[in-house]
Amino acid sequence: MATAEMMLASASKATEAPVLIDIDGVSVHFESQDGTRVTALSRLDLQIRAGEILSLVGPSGCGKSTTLRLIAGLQAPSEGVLSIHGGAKRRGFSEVAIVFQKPTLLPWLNVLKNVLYPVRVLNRRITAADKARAIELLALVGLSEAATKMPKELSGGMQQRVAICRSLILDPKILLMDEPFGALDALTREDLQLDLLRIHAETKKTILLVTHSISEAVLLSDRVAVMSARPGRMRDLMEIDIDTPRTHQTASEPKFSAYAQRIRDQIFEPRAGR
Amino acid sequence: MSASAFSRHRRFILPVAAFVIFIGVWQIVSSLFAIPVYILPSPVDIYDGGSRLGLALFSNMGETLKTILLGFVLSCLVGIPLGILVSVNRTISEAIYPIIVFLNAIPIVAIAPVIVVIFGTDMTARLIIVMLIAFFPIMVATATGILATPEEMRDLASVTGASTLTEVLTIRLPYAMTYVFGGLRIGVTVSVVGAVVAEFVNANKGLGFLVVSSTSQFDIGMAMACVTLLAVISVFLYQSVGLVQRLFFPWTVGDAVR
Repeated sequence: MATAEMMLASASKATEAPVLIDIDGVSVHFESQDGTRVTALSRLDLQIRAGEILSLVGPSGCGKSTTLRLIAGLQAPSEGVLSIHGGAKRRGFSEVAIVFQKPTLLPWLNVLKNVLYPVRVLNRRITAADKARAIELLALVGLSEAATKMPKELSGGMQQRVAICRSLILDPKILLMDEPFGALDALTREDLQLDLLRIHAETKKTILLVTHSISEAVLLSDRVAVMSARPGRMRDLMEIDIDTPRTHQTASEPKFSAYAQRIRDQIFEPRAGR
Repeated sequence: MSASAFSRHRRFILPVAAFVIFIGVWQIVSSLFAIPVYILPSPVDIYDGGSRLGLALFSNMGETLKTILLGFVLSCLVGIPLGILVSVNRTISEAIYPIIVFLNAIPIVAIAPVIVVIFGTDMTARLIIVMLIAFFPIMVATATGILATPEEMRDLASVTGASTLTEVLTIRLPYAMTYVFGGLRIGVTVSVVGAVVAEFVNANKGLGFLVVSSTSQFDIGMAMACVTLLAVISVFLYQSVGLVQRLFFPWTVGDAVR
């Protein structure tokens, strides 16, 4: 299979980066309301490398968001081991930050204070250096003028940019993004995708991105993990070997559509054909 | 007046005009049909009743206001923390919620004389009566707001490593303020009711006391003057709560809340 060779070839190149998050045979079961056990995630094995952008794609209920919540410490594994950076996952620490589908800004704080919220939670006094960093981050996404505005004065896209700044304020190693651009209009989404690529190029964060959009996954990712539903499990993990820096012109390359087609096939192919 | 000036100020002009007409019709009907004052005092009778009290009207109003405000503040100091506790901690909630519901189920007018017997005829008894009626809506509203906090906001706090206390203080309580103010509006209104009930059963001053003493002398005009003043106080306090909300908690003022 040509794709398998392609994967092998690129895998040898990328394995140089150390594994930052190791998900080893992790399952997550829920008790549903009528008492039956629902398996949200079944024996997931996934190694996320330092500095990569890895996308999780798949139909609803495939456990993408559960995987994200696991790494964020919002969900404990029922079975298996999840370790970050060699050590065991502690609940809530400054190495992981999350961006949700909705901006989830706190409406009682202005933009600057929203960006600084994680600093405040850590019981640290907000210093001039913190403020300078927040303003620097806002400038990175073109919002330096908006620091004193209230969230409701901003558009959805601007709010999501603020949320991204907030996720970066503590300089986390890992950035988790749960369909961060899903609620935005198409033009704003393209804008923010490029913002994200730029931020990644500058900061080399490890980014785990949950998305419904196949083209978004191909455009942004170093690797794409395709998951299938009921029970949620890993279906395929492919290396996206397209040169950086990528732009929206990248989408017109034949390689791009080949990857997109392969992901689509993986999602819609009947399970028996694996 | 031009039509545009009217449409700009109609929210003010219409109720004032309606009120003036209502008072006018009331006065005319009272005089025209010579309705006895003990059946329906006219606006002039009520004004006379009030002016016969003179400055005493205002010193008594001060007493009642003191009871209302102190009782209301105490209700907040008890109701808001209790609302937080029952919504954050399940054990506390299961243990004390039934007791609180029972306390609230007691008819305030029935228990008021008993409280006076137990606590005496000073301010303490009056404040307890006000609190019994006012803390419950405040507590329930607070608990509802705390529980209504969107999960993503709570996740945000957890991911950052916030303790439960930090989460409550920085996320859930600010979010709940919209609901808390709903409770405060009800709370301040029923505080007026509580204060009057307390003065009915135990006081030698205050507007509630004046209502009782003047009706026992068939001075309906004077009684109605006190009742009117109580209504004015109630509206004023209700609006003050709204003002505090708009000034200090602007994010809680959405289109739904007015």
